[in-house]
Amino acid sequence: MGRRKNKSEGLVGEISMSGFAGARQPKGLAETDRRRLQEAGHLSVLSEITETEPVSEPPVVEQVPSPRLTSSAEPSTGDEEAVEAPSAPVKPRRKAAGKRRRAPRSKGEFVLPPRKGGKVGARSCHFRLPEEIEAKLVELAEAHGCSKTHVVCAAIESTWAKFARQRRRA
Amino acid sequence: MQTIAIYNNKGGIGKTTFAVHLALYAAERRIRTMAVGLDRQGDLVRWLSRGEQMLQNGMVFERGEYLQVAYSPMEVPPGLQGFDLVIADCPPSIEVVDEVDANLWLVPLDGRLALENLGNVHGAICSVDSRVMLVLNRCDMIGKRALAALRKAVHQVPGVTVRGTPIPATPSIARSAEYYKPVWAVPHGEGTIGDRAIQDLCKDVLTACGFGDRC
Repeated sequence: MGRRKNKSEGLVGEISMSGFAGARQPKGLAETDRRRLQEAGHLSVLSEITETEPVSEPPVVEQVPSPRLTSSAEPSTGDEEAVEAPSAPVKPRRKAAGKRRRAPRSKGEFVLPPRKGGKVGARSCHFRLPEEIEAKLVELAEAHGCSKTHVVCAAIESTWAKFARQRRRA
Repeated sequence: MQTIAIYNNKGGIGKTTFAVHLALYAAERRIRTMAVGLDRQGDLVRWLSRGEQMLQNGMVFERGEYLQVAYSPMEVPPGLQGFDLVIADCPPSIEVVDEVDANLWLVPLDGRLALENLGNVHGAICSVDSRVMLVLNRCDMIGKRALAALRKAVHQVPGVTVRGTPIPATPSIARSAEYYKPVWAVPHGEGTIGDRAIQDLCKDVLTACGFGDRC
C-alpha cells in the first residue's frame, strides 16, 4: 500500500517541489563559495580586500550661514522663519551660528573673529555650479521633466558605472 | 580572460539555454570555463548540475575538468582568475548592465514581440561600451514578413553585430532542459536541425571571442 498523500501539502507535497535554495541570497557569491574558489586559486585575494573596504563617507562640510540671508540690508519681513523652518539645511546653520555667538557672549564683550585662520570659505548653504553648467542643468531638467537633483544623480550614476567598469578591468 | 554576458530584459527567451550550451560547448573544446548564474531563479545551476546541486549549500561545483559553475546573484565575482572564459547568465533586469563588465553581450531576441523587445533592450545595450551580438531565436514561429521586418530593424541598431541565421524552435532544444543536457546529448538530439543551429551559434560566439582555433 502506497503512502497516503498529505492533502494539506498540496502540489508541493505531491511532487516534492521545493524552491531554489539561493533565491534570497544577497548579491554576489556565498561565503562558502568564495572560500572554495579562493582555495582553488580561482579568486584573487585582492577582490576580497576591495569588497570589504568600507565605503568612504563624503566629507562633512560645516554649513556656514549665507551672508545674503543674514545681512541686515534686506528688510526682515518676519515670515523668513516660517518659510525656512521646513527646509533641511536650516537646522545645522542655526546650530553653527549659535556656537559662534556663544563665546563672545560669555565674555561679555564683542570680539572680532581672528584673521589668522586663513581664507574664509564660501559662506553659502547652497552648492553652486558655474553658470554654463547651471544653464545646461536647468535645460536638461526641463527637457526630461524632472528635478535638477535627478539630473545630477543620473549623471553621477552613469559616470560611476563607467568608472566601476574601468576599475574592474584594471 | 573573456567574459560573455547573455542578457535580455525579457524572460523566457533563451538566455539560460544559450548560456548552458555555450558553457558545455566550450568545456568540450578544452576551454577553461566558468559559468556564473546571475539570475536568482538559479536555472543555470540547476541545469548544469542535472537538477541536483540546488539542494546543496555551496553552489560552486565542477562539471568536468574544464567547467566550473557558480551561483552569484546579480554579480560576476570580481577577481576571477585561472579561466579562459566566463559566461554570465544574466537575469531579465536592466540593472545588471551596469554591474557586469563583459567583453561580449549576447542578446537573444525571441521571435514573438521581438520588435517591441528590441525597443526595450535598445536603451540598455546602447549604454555598454563593449561588443553586442544580437541573435534571433525561435523566429520560425513568426511569419516571413514579420521576420523580414525584424531583420531590417535589427540591422538598423547602431554598433551591434547581428547573427544572420536564426535559431529555430525545435523539439530537441526544448527537450534539452527536461533532460538537463545539451541538445546534442539528449536522445535523438544529435545531428538535428536544433543541434546544428545551437552548435553553429556556439562556434560563432566563441570565434568572436578569439577562440576560433579551438572550435
